[in-house]
Amino acid sequence: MTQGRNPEVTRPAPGQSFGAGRLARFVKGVVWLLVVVLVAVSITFALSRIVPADPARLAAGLEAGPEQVERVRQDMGLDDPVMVQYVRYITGLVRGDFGDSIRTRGPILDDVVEALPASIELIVVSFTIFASLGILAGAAWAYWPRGVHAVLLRVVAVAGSAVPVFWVGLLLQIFLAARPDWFPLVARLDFPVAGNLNHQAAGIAEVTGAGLLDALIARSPSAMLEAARVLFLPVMTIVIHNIALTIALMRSSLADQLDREYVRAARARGLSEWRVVVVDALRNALNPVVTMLGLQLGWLLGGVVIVEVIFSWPGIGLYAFSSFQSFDYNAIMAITVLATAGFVLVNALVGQIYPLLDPRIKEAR
Amino acid sequence: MSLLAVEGLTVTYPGGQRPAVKGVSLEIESGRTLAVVGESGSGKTTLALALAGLLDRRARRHASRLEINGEDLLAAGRRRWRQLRRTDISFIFQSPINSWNPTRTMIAQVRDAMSAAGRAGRMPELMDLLARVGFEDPERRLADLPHQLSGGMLQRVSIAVAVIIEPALLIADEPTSALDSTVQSEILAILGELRSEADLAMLIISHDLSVVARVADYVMVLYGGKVVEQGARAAVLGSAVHPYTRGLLDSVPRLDGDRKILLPSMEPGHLPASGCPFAPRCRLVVDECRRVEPDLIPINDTLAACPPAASSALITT
Repeated sequence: MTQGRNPEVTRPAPGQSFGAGRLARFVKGVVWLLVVVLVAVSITFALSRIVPADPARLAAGLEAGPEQVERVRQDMGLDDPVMVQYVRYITGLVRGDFGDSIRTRGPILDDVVEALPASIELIVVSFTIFASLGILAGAAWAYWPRGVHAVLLRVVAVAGSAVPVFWVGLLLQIFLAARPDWFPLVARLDFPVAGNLNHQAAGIAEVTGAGLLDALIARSPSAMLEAARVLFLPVMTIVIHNIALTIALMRSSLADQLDREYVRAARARGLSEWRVVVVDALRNALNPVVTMLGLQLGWLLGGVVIVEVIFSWPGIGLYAFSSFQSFDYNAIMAITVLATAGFVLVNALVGQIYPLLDPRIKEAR
Repeated sequence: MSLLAVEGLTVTYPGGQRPAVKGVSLEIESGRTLAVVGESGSGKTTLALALAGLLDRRARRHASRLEINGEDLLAAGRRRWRQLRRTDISFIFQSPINSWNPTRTMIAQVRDAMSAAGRAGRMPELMDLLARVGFEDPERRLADLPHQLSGGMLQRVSIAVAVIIEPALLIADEPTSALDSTVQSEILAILGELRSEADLAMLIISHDLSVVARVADYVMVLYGGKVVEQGARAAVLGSAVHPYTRGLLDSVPRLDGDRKILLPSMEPGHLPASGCPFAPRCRLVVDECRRVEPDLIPINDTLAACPPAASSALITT
């Protein structure tokens, strides 16, 4: 990003090699991740035993008699003491066993693996769009504070964050899917199936389960177009809601940097506007934006539930919603663990970006 | 011929009650130094920025003449000003630590400046110059980030980068006010030496009369955006007639403890709408001062904007 960045900046502290410091930090990060996940699992586990619902009753069915319910209870190990159940659950988790689903009767891991690609595709595409567009728009707004674009961006920045996600989704469905029917109203109705694209109808092989990626692998332009069409409305819903904050923060952060004396000093040295604004000011302005984008991405891991329900998007969010409805407590716990781990991971990754933007941070550790 | 010639320069910021700089005229020849003196808010920084084309985009600038090297710059666009800053005008700022991007190494920023000026190939010369001005081991220390260097070190880099392009005009806005007094005098010595070597015109802004006494050939005193007195250094520092200049001179702490009348302190932002801006604090004030804005007139050895001082000067001499 910068020319001639001297590697000496990252000189290690005396008596400690740089590699060892990074390894220590990595190990610390992993331990921290495990602790957070364990706490989250424990809380969820406790809640699932406090909630006044009877999973055995649900699993056995409404028609089942008391003896049948008892048998199911014994089969599921629900008559054991809570601590025994807790230890059994944790040891299962360590082996990668999330238990069986009451609803689908299969291992939860299989369900999750099937639903995950669709969610990841939705989140990655949405995040990429609102992060990049938001940064560009916010930067343009800060650099050219007056004009028609400024008025438009102000409207987007205020309305986008003020309007609830489900309302945006419904409006988009009414005006872009119902009539005129440019986009599909919902992704797919034949849930649960892998992926968000009807691979058979599109004539492509299912490799990853993520429609856009599979179409790309199959090099099929028509399938890519179809996958993009299916993605469009849910992605727009997430983008409209999230881009507002990105634009607003980017604008104020860059405007603040552009007012600093070093910007004027760089101009005084005859540097081009591109160098002054992009290489110096923009990079400094990105720091708080990266923090917020990390939080937004973490939030999306859970927040995608509403969007997936609105558009019947066959991802982890819709799976979670169905599990809540049928009190599929094993599935709920599995999703909690995944969302927590995802959140912590994203934050750890964000922590790796800071020193790239501001070398003083690396040195301070 | 003067290297820099300005007539009737007025700068207004949006929402400002009065212009930040009003009707300022000045000339500097090569090899000469003009010091602009005034308290904060007197418009001296705005004046310096205007002369380097660095004013805020919202500021309005008017002048009847603005020439550098004989080139008329009244209609010069941003591009032309940038080109001038690359080759003809250098600027040194007050705060060395704020003059550099805190997140990039000094060497990267110095290289940026050098290549902007088209002198990327002259890095070895810059290193020599840095060593000469007391920046030890430049190859290694420039790899540091700005906050790892002291203010004096940073200001030495600023000066070296400013001078290496061999500018015709060097503008220094309070170049030593943010530094310790020992470092201050080293920096002033460096500036003076480089200036006489390079035969460049220098405009130095300061509120510190001891700095002015050391480096200036001419002195211009600003108050409320207006020139209240100007003249040769010896004349202004020795026999100033404007009550504001006299007040400034009398405010300098003396070892003998013999202080004369101190300036009444200013209420910030309370400059009068008409008449002489200094009238509310002036001991010579007459009714006329509040009505008519005085022009510069020759009184004794200087030009001063104070008719009452003229009459009292006549009486005392």
